[in-house]
Amino acid sequence: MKLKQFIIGILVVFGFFAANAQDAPSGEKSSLFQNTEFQIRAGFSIGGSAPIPFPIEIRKIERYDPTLALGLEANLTKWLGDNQRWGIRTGLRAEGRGMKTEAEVKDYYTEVISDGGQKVTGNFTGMVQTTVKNSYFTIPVLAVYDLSSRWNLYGGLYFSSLIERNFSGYVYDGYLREGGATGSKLIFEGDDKGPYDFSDDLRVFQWGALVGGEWRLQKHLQLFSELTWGLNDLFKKDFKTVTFHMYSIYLNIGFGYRF
Amino acid sequence: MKTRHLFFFLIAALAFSSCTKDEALNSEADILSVIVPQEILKADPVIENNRVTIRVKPDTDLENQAPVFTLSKGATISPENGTVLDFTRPHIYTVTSENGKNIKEYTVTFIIAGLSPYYGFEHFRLNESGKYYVFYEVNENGDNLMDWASGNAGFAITAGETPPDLYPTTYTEAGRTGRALKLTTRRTGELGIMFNKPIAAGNIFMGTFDVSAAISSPLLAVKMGIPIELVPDTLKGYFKYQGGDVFVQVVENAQGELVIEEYENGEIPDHWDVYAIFYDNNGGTLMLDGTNRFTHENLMSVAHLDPVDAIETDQWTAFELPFVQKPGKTIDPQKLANGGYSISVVMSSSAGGDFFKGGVNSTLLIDDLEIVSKK
Repeated sequence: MKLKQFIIGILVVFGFFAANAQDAPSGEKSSLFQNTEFQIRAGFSIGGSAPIPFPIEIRKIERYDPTLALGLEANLTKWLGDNQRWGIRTGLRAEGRGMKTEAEVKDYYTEVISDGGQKVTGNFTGMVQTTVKNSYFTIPVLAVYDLSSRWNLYGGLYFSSLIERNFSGYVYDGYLREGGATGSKLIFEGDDKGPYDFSDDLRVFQWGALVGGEWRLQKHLQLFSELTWGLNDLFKKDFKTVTFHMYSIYLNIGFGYRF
Repeated sequence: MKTRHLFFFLIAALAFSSCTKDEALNSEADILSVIVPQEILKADPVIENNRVTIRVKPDTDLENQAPVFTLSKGATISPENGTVLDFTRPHIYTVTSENGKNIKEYTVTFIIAGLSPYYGFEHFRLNESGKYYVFYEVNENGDNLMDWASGNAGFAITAGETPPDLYPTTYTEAGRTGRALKLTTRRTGELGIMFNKPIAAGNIFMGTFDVSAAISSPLLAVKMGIPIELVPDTLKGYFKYQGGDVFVQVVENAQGELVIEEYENGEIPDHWDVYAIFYDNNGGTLMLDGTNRFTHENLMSVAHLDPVDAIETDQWTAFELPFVQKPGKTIDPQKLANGGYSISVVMSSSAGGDFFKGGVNSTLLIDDLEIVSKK
């Protein structure tokens, strides 16, 4: 796992800086580290890739499983001024975003596709299972506001790059009308599954808004909760099979350690 | 506290935007069933995606028929239900979906003539989507007597842009007389493998292929039988056959999973098959299928090629199969006259084709098929 090694490397580097910043006697802090805070974070995310607006083809979400999507982050906050009211924060995060859903659809345009690329395209009415399991490197760029001795609020933008991708699933318990609503019916029943895999059609670059808050449990330990809202489509522009736009919306919850 | 409010607001916004909308108007434009006076029907009407075929008794007044169709929810039809039309020729009906966006044309045909005893495989056309050939039979006036059914519609699901000549069921100009039927066992490609249907045998039969069942229950997709007013005695015809080199089959492994096996260099020889079934169709309501074609209690007689006669040959070779009577069955002449018995002749380039076993490129040519009836 290259990803794990990379994360460990990043943490070591940040840890080193953080330790240095802390070890230096307060009077001798270089200007670079003046009013600077290092933090490492671990958390998990709950959310999904949601179509917005919700398409008429999706009748009912039968099952939703947020899956276990973990995130690790190292960040640095530069406080503007000695009163430490406002600050700016950036860092590097490795995070998973995933979900599993089962939805009842009607007239849902899709293609059932084989590994070799052969496909059957048409309007499906029945059940659709979807698994999303993506990993991203994310750089947040945030403004931080020190609300009280215990609370920090922050908000800004994030920029993500896709490193591991999976958007796949299958249709079942229903029928596909080949080519469109007037095509021949193909019935899927019992164990019949029509798999699909749109992993290669995922957009690599994702960006969006991020707002959150952190609560100081004690001097070093913090709890945080934040919402990330994707502002560009999950899929590439030229990808037409999923006829609606999908956006990543996740709530991240976890704890941070402030050096 | 402010943070909590903010979160609450955002979560609420998310939840609100995710509410499902009211269901859309129906987009389907199907004929679901057709109603005509029961007493004129020889067999239940056959409804396909773009065709309705109604076989009627000889004394039917074809010039004044007013069929009524039941349609997808909210759909409309033109000409209107109950319109009296002259069905000595087929008519095209147009069905429009409830949402008005989809329009489908159906060719509605009344067939009054009985089946022909002779089949030369001279007539074919492209199907509605233009992907594959459909053989049909006409009488001396050029009226359609019957469309031959085949698995081509199933093959089309996974065939992409395959030209009609490379479908399992096609024709050759090099017939014994004129054209001949050409059946070839084909690979179905990646998608076929995914559905555990790695090959498609070339086949043709009297009846209808229900494409909707092609993936879930292929044995039920083959619906056999067309009413016949004669009692068959012998099935005759001519063939050429070359078995394929690579034999493919789907078997269940020890874990109960389906796996695809291939045997190269003729390790398992393929052979072809022809058979005919003659059965009591329960007043036009029964069609036999792949699960019960040789076992159904309504069978009157069966003609079946002996596997030892399914030889390879590059010369036109005659076959002649007697219909073997099932014990204790007698023909009711009145029922016979009313179309109460059905026949299906079935041919396949791989005898195991129903179970997706066969030699890739096994090729069967058939010409000058004849159903000889009892005097």
